Amino acid sequence: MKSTKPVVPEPLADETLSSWMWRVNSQIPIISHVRFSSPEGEIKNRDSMELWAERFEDRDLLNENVYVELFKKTFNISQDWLSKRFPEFSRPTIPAQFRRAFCSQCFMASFEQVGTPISKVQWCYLTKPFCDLHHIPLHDSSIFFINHDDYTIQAFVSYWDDPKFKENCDAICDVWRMRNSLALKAQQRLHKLTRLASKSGQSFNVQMFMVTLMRAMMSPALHHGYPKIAFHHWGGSDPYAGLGVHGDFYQEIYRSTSLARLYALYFSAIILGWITSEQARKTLHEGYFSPWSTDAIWLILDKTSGVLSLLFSELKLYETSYLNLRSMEIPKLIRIRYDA
Amino acid sequence: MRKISTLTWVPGCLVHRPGTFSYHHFVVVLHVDLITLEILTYSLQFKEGCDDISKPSLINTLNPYGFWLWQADQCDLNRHTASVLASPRLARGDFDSFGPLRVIRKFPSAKLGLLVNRLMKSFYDLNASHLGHLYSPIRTSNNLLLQRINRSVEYANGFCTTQG
Repeated sequence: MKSTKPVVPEPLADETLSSWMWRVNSQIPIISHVRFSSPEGEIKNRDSMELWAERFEDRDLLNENVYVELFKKTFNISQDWLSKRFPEFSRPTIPAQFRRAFCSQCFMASFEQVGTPISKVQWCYLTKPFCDLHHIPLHDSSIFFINHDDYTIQAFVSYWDDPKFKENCDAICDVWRMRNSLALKAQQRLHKLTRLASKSGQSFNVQMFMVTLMRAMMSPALHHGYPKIAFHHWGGSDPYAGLGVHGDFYQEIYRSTSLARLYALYFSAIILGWITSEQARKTLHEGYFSPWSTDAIWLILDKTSGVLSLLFSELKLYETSYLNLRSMEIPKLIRIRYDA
Repeated sequence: MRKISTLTWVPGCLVHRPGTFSYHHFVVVLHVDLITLEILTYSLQFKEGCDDISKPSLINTLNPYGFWLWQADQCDLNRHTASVLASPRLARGDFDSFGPLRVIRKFPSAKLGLLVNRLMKSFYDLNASHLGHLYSPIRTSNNLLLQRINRSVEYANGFCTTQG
């Protein structure tokens, strides 16, 4: 055991399983499989789950990655060692087929540290559109995680190589500076709440409460408040599809861009009262048409049929003492009758 | 009879006809008890010429309303299916739409909303989270689609038994 363990490089803090496995394989090439040895690292053969169109296998999960067994045998790694370093996701995640968020600063930092860019677990979370470490908004790579075994490398290369891509990313950080900082505060507050709630085992509900609010904020009625670029490069082959009120509400957040999630978080923070209307009004020069008060957002939601009743029935499912409907300021409009 | 209403649901997914390249909209006809909101039975109705698609249906023969359900099934559902599928609401094609097939008794709107939310919660959220191809409705397999419909009906019915 002692002789084998130093051979395997330790995963960096918060590194994903697939990123670590690719890094190990690039240093000690042990997998002579078609997928890993193809020059582009592109995944040609889909997994069986995808064939049934049910869902895609998630290479970042220990029980779904097919190469875990091979790694365990070759390096004599125990399951405990792996599950301690790569625990299951603790928050609602972006599905594997739409995963593409990254932090450019983290890429650079890990590139300087180990010579290879790495992917981080926190980029997989729906409620984290910001990098925890560098406090900048995550960007969306033009490369999808599901298509490449060496996704991290491909994303890193495309960040530098794609024309104007890096400039666009920098612009996103610069142009909406005030909103970014407000939304970042909301993300940090949610993070603290989640940690508090995890002591009583309610962290999932707190997260889902926020995800539900973000889902509602992504409804087409509020799209005028988003920057146009947030809807560019929407996941999947189609733009924001319109599956109907329910389909959009539940599903679109999964394939949304990081910027769209950032704005959804920003509006959710306004509706929760975490961002006051004075603070939000001061950011109007960063997007004149964005609603800036709680009342305005409720009014817009009230005008769209179906969303409100859906939102309230969903929010009730995830109420906790940390986040609940009673503590939210809901204007007494005639058509809002969520108790019915 | 007085307490049963028939509801049609056009799911936002398409069903694939085996052996061909054609995809079709279809109607899920739900027979709902208005008091308990229990879905007593449902059946799938396809356009003419798509009879080769399997049609599972959930029929509770022990239900006291069995006779009325039987009678409801005797009605000419095919004609109504055609009219529902041809209605202008479906012009967008990929929309979930709900509506009464035949007005036996008007469905109270609050209850309809409740039922629709439960069905959709299961159809789009519980049984479709992380689903591969939801955004392109033609790429979901028939089996999976039928499974999801069945599960959403079971989920909606689960509320009736726990509450009542």
